[in-house]
Amino acid sequence: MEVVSIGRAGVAVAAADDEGALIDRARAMEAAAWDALYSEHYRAIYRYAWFRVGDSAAADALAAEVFLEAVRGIGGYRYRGTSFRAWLYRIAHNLTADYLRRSFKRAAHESAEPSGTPALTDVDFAPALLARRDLHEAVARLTDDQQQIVILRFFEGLSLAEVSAATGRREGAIKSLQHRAIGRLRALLAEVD
Amino acid sequence: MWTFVRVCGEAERLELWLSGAGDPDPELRSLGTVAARCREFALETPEPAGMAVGRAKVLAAVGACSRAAARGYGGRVRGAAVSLAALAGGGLLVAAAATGGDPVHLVRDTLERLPIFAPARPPAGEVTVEGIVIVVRDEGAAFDLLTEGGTIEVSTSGATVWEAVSAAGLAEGAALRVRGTRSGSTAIAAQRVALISIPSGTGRQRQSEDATAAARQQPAAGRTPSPATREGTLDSSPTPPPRREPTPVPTRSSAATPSATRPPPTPDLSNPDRPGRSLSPERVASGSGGSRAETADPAVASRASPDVMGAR
Repeated sequence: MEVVSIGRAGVAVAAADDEGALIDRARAMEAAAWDALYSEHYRAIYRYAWFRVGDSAAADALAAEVFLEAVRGIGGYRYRGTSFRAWLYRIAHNLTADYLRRSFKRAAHESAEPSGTPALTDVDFAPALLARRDLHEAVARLTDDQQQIVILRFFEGLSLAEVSAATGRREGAIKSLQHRAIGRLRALLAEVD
Repeated sequence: MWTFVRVCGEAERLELWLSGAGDPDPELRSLGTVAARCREFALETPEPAGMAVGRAKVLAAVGACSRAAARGYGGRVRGAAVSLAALAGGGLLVAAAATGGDPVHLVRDTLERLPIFAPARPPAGEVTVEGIVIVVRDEGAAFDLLTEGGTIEVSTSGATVWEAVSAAGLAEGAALRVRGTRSGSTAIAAQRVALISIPSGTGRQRQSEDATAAARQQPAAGRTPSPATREGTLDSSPTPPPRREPTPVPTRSSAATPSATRPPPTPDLSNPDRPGRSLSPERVASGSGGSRAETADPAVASRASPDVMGAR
């Protein structure tokens, strides 16, 4: 029986089928499939990394590393209808956490007064962007998990279900984290304001 | 009373409503506004400058992984191939003196097929590379490979890597420390490489043949060392630095770390016409000693993969 997809749900199913097929080809190490996945998801992963580390060069490198990790791990990845991007977000979260930990260690080692947040080299030069830096720094002062939720929910605009897929947490836990994150963010930004 | 936090971009003002006292459901209302504004804010994210380089890395890695799979190699070698291919695919020039025969072919083949792109940024911090001799060079900046008490000037091909290793008296498995000054992909990639090793114990008979063959390879056109790298890191000391016994570092695959007692490869150094043969004795500098070495952190090493595995 031929199924004609009408409406958003149908499109979503078709898109999922397409992604599933694309991932099968990626698993077979087909370069064109990886090229397509890269083109489709790179910017989102880069943005996630950028919000986390605040440095565009590092975000670029981390985003590429996310895909390399995906190349390494695609054999064990099973597509179950949740977005491939959710998996990439999870890898990105782990890699950025590693990066921030190393940066913090390095800063602590090299500086007598280590900074608790990563340097925001992209915005330091422009006074007009100081307020923006405040937001960025406030987010950087959230806990690792809170950052993940805030970025995915509010910066990337993911739904609770999508965040759940990307983080492996239940929606209730995400709501709870989100509540605490917003409260903390509010307090931090109120200090700045 | 509403609390506003104003975030100013270059062209527009952004307002985040973070709370609303007196509102029947302030949290939800404010969350909705926060979400909308944050997405607006997200549109101001700087454009990724390294997308093309990243794509080259990924596609190079896919190709290398595919070739490794076609030859029946397991996950560890595939992972090594991905790392090396990614480094070279991103314009970071790498060679690995891997032990164990066939993986050498794999690595060499990988390197041979890779395009060379514009140099990436110099690395950050220092990275200790254990278990596999790895030579990385960034054409854009002075970039040292430090051995204990000395600096090796390296070039851009597998041939001169072998020359470097030989001239410095290093055996496979010797520890090299990589030092850089800025953040960038090199350090991240080097960290990755620091966590890999290629299993030893197979095909050793072919090892020296592989090394010699690699030494005879001609570097690709346009991959000559930059003056910035050649100069300033050399002195006239013809004495190779003392060989350093590798210090065990807990890496993801430390069990497969090649033995440092294995004799070094014997490259053919007799070809004077080979471009980029930068490891004549006078090019082996000494005394430029590194400072702190950022050892591959087991916590770091263990972090990504298990979670990624968990996501599979």
